[in-house]
Amino acid sequence: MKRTALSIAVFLSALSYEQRALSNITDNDPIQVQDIRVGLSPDNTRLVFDLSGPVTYRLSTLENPTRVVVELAGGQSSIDSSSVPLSGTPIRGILINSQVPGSLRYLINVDPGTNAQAFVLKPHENRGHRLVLDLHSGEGETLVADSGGNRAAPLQHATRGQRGGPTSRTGPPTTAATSPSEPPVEYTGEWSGYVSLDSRLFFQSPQFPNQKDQDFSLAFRPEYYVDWAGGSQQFGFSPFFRYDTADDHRTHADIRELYWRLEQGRWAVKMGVDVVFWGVTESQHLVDIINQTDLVENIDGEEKLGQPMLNLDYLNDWGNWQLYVLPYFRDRTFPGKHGRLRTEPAVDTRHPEYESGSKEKHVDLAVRWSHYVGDWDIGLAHFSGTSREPYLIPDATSGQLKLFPLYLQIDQTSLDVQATKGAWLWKLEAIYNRNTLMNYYAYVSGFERTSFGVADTPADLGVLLEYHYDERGDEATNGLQSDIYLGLRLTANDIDSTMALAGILYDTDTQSVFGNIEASRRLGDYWSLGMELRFTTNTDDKDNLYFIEDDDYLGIELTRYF
Amino acid sequence: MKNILRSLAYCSFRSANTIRLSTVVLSIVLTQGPVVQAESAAEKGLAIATEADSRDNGFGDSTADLAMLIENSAGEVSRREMRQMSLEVPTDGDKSIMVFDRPRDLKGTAILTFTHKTTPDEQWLYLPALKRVKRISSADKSGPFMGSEFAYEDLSSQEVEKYAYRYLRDESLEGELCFVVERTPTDQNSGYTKQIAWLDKEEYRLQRVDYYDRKNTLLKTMLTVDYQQYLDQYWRAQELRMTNHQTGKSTTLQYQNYQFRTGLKDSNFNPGALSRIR
Repeated sequence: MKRTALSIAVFLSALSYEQRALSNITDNDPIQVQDIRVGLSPDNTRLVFDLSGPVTYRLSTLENPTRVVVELAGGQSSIDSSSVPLSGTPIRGILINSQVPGSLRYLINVDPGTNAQAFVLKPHENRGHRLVLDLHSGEGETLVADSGGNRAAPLQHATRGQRGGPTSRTGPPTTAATSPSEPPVEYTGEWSGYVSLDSRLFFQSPQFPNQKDQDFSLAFRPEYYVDWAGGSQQFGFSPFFRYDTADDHRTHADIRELYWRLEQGRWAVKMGVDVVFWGVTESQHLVDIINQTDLVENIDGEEKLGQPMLNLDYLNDWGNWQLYVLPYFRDRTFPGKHGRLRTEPAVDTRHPEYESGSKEKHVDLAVRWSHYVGDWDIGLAHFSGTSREPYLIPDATSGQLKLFPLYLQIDQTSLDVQATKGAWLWKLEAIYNRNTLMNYYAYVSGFERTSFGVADTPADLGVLLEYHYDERGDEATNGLQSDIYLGLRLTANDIDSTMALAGILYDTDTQSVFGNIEASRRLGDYWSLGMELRFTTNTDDKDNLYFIEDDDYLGIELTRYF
Repeated sequence: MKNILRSLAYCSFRSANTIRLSTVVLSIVLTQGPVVQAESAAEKGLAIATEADSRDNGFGDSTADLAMLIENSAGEVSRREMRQMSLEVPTDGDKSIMVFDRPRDLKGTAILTFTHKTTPDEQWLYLPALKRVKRISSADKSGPFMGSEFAYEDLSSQEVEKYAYRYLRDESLEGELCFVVERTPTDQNSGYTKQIAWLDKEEYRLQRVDYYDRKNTLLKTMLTVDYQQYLDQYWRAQELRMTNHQTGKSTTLQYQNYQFRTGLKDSNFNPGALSRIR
């Protein structure tokens, strides 16, 4: 305790030259800050601290970023500084630091160029002791609050202790207690998400009738998240909407997330709709099976439809154990007849065929164990239920050729492994799939090697090589029966997170090539710009790429996050 | 996007095995004048680092909110916001999770790091758009973190074993008497040939670090600002300021709302639990 005594002594000696008001402070009788009020005039913002008694204070400023520091000797806060309305003031946030024994410090983030003055007021009429802090903005600077809205950004975080964290926070709060006039804040829900505008420009004339040369599209993905009970219970909701000018199948809506989750120590249970990812490779996600692909979104297969589930997680020293009960099947989305990047004829999604008599109500089951051992990350899983990947069955019985998706019942066992050896990532995904039509195995394996700080720049350059094999050969639904992927990934490590990935997928049987270049960067704090260029060459009519051989395109996407 | 770890806001050289040794060495330094002469600069440098580390033993776990203000040479500032959770691992390097809140396109992105004293660190990245947990290479020490002036290695847990030390001199830094210690990274992936560190003699807190690049030219200076003490023992700076002398750019890292012994467990710092972090 010697150190504590010393720091109080240091603190008090520091006060001596800045002392504006003296009082009889005893250690047993802390001064309560009962309220903080804000007054606003065109060139002046006034903060009034209502106090339970006379106080000794010290005013100082810190630069870069500009902060006004108010220290109250013997002060204690009994209010939540985040409840102070700061909209329209030069104040970006008020932070309380009560860690120095016997002292209460307010760190007030303000716009650069703001000047501060302080004085105390004695009790008058119905007002008690007060400390007044006047903030003048320098040289006609505009008084604008943080674009986040009523409260400035750092403040939201200062109050975040009640939210967030993976477990309940049992320690004593270091920030101010909640205002006595308000109930304790239990639910701190938050909206976020994005709106994006995109266009795909196709270089060639359409191969099939009704297809368009260009489409414009608008997508909206809000996301709501709230947790309570110290973060152990969570609720998430995230719908998705897209409007597309060319393809009425691409105009669609989905619920990506709508779940409730409860965490109890090593256990977690989740009920509702969510997206789950398994796997390690980059050019195909072979073992990823819980969710259906939202194919109209992107032919890369990385966009997924929300999957209804009951999920149980258990974590112990031997790994992460997961059980999924999947009571409802989502059938894959396919482009309509006006869309590009489709088969001819377009897949008739109105009447999907199922092997199971329960159709989409078949209850699927999945289990997975995953763990890390040294450099190795390993996942072993089994899925029993409706295949996410359909066979496309031609049917001419109506006199007109149609394509129906057929969803088989499958039992699929999968393994995914990554070995992380310095700059090398070695990867393997493998499946064995048992079904009534044709049992098969398939794998994708390869590496990613990154050179950090290439050519004396901060940029990283990665080389990716992956080989795909599918025992079904020409019958492989994804066409990756014997293909090599070679890619280059550039990560600029700049402030805008600029990155690019360029790759080609080469079919060793047909010599056809699918090329893909993706790039993105941030524009300011809320916008990002993405582009993708996709093309095929040397296709032949035995290849899946045949249908999209005239669908080379440049896609541009502008996204606004909120 | 990697290697962000427990705050460098304090000197966190930690090594449970060497505490007893260092205490002995220090007591010799303090009590027996002639032995000081006999102690080599390397021994004294190591003793200072070890003492600084041992003073941070027992913090258990901590959480903090971070704001990173990245300023380019034209004075334009970009703001990043993150939350950090750290777990002390007494016999090895610490574990930490960094979650991004701003910019919004990175919201929910999380990095889990296991720091190790002598073997390479381990890192996993969680990408919320794909809900994907991805093991990433920790070999990139010298690259910039989020386009800032902080390199990954500047922000990773500063284990005693990660440097060789040499005590240089005592020197007053802004009125505070400091040890000045040269630290040479033992990892050949480091972007530095050496660092010169100032630690105040009273509390062994890191006050300033000068970083020398691979050409042994002064590259950056980091200053720590506004140390606060928690749980009557653990000092954390509320602000780290990194200035790049070669480019004129600077980055300020602000720590807010530090909390200690919040009840975080080892199971919270697991790749399998990373997708649950919000």
